[in-house]
Amino acid sequence: MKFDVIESKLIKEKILYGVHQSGLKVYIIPKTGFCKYYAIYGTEYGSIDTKLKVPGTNEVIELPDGIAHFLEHKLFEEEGGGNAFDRFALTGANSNAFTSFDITAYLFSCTDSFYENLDILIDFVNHPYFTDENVSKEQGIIGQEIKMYDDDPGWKLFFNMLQAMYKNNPVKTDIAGTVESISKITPELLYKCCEAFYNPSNMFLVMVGDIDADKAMKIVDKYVTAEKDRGRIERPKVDEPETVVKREIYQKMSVSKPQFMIGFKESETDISGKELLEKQIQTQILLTLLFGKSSSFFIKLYEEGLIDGSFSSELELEKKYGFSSAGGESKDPKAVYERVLERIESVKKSGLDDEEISRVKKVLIGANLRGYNDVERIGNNFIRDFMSGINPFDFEKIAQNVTKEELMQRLVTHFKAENSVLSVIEPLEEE
Amino acid sequence: MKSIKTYEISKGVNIRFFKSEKFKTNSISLYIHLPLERKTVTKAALLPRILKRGSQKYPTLTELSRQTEELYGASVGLGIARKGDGEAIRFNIQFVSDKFLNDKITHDAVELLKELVLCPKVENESFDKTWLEQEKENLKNLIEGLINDKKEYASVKCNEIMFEGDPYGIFEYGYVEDLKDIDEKNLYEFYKNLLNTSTIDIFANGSFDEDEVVAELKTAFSAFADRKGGYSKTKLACPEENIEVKKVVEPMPTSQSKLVMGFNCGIDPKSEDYYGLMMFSCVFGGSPFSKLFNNVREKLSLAYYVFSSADRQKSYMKISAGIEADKFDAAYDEIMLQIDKMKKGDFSDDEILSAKKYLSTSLSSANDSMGAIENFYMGQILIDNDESIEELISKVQKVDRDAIIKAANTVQEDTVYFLKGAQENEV
Repeated sequence: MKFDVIESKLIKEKILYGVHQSGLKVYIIPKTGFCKYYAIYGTEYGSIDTKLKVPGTNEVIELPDGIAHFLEHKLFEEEGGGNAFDRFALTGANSNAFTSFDITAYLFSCTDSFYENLDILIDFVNHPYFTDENVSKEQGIIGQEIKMYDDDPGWKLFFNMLQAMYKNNPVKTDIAGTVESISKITPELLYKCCEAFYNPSNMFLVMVGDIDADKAMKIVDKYVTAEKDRGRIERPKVDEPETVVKREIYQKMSVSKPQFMIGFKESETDISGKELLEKQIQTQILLTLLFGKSSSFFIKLYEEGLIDGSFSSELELEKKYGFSSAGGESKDPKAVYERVLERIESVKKSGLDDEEISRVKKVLIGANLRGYNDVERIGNNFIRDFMSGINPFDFEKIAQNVTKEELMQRLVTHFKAENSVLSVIEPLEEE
Repeated sequence: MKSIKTYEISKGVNIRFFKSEKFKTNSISLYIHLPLERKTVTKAALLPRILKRGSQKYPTLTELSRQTEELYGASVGLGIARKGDGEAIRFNIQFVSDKFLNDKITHDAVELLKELVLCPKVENESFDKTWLEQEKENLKNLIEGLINDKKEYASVKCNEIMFEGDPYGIFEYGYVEDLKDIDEKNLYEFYKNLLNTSTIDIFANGSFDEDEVVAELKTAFSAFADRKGGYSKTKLACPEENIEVKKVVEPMPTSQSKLVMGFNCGIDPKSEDYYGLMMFSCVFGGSPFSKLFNNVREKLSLAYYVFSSADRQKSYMKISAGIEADKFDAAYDEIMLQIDKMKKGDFSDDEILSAKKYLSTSLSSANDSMGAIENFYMGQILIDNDESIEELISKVQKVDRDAIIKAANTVQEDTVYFLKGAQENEV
């Protein structure tokens, strides 16, 4: 298999990239000097895929909530009662997996026997083994995982915000589903999802370390063949209004103080590649300018005791969904929400300061460089970028070149009061 | 220690230099050590919160934040780090290495660190009163906010019950009721005293030029005078004769219940037996192939998370699991059954081999993380141990079955804490 090379002289890193005959996209990031090797093997399939169009037919199946995550747990199971963890145990690798809104990924890190571990990884992901018995056992374990998240105020805050934000987009549904929804999962349904979503054209393999490409690809050849290819997956389009469902959402839990999250819904979706990266960078710069620790907003609210050091902002802008958020703890979340909206309106009027923009660009450039300190972080960040068609080496240049006009434009289109929501977790009433 | 070089600034104040070429950033941490004590813990927790508000040169949070942004978003962390029966106020600055910038920022980063440590905003021998009041409120919220994370809350509770009256049982964020006695004057007095008398370590890790950065640090911190030096000695959690296991059940309106158990190990962190304890904990509950994972989770589906971990300094083991309220007996019995199996040597050679490989991977992976390198070597310095990560790995590889059985038979159940979930009206 032939690999192309992308290089960044600035940050002194490179990426080898190629497409396997099966359709699988393969990336190698050569890293020397680190003890660890890392491989992450993922599919563009997550909790937002709630419908399955069976490849080669017109059949569309409604899937139970939480099935992508359930499948992730179950793939570790192997015929004969063992699981892939035990095989990794014998080579000393640390293995794991995660499911998010739009990705399911399996991964390991190791300090030796990389190719042996790669063999286990590619093998187990391509050999599903589901039975009534092992599915029902998992319902107990995942049931406990769901309950753990039920008690997590940060998690509830986040999903309540998405519930208030989205009418139809399945991003609003908890990734693990509910105890009730996962009870509907059967081995047959799992096999169907596996065949469709785990087809090589929909998958990515990213390897980080001092890796011999030929040796790695021989292992891929063993388990991933062109016969498994089902081509591009057709995904039914989601009809999502631009506006939010409701502006405020509240829940009571046993917390010491109100926790809040303020979100802004992105109206434009289905963008990818460089355009998406530009939007991500612009929005990130804006979030720092508006609400960062060096902003006039932050210090005022901090000194008034409306926010504390836990206040921070986040951005999740992907192909199928997008939102920015800011949150923390406050005695009066509603007041913070009003001040956030005021802040945005006042900056829309007053404009942005050149000196501040250039300082925040430095912050982004530093943060991007820091991302290269850790082989796991490289793998995890890059697999997401590659699925979105983004070349991670474009980051620094785009950040340098963002203009004030682009930022003002973005400020107006993304930060709209009518597309914003306030989610609050309140303490239980004293008895 | 082979990989760490020590340079003395004055007696009890040392630079610990660790060279690593592979990172894009450099990191410098300054530790001011003090013993964990009820009478100082709340002050120590409050200090970093005041100091990170600003300094003489950067008299507001805004100006301070702007300076860190100018340094390509250098991350500045001020907080407390606890280990064994001691704690430290830790100042850390991590910044992009000059190699990747058309700019040189190492000098400015050292200057900023110095500014934060040595030039706090002080007037009439007092910290800013307004800041103090705000940060007292924030710390109070933080202490009370422990309840927001039930897993952490249960773990702290178990610790408090097990180590009542012992420094290790002290909650490192301090106590709300102790805040009222702290004012802008006595807190500054406390800090000044720490600066003059505490043992101080400056841990520098990165690709910067050794001579250059050592010279920078020596100049920046030349004001530190000689002091006694040394670190708090940790009293080991030792098995007791005729122990009465402490059992506490606390009801709370949560959907999942949390079981935390504490065990005394009594193994000297510098003895050969310690490696046996590491291996025991790994096979028993410290890995994804452990007895606890395979039985409590995979076989009986009682939990999503269940694990054990052993603390080297204090020599105690914790077991933690998230379960259903009515499954306490099932989970407890299974955990005790698995310990019993370990005691009797009922584990396979494959499990031993897996644990050795697992620990070897985890330990050598520490070399790939700036935080883990610092944490490991600072831990070693505190127990005056010059063993490197590589030497530790090779010691673990030599552990045999008998050493694991010996460790299993040393650990002793001390405390069982159960945060019992219930609907609100049941509580």
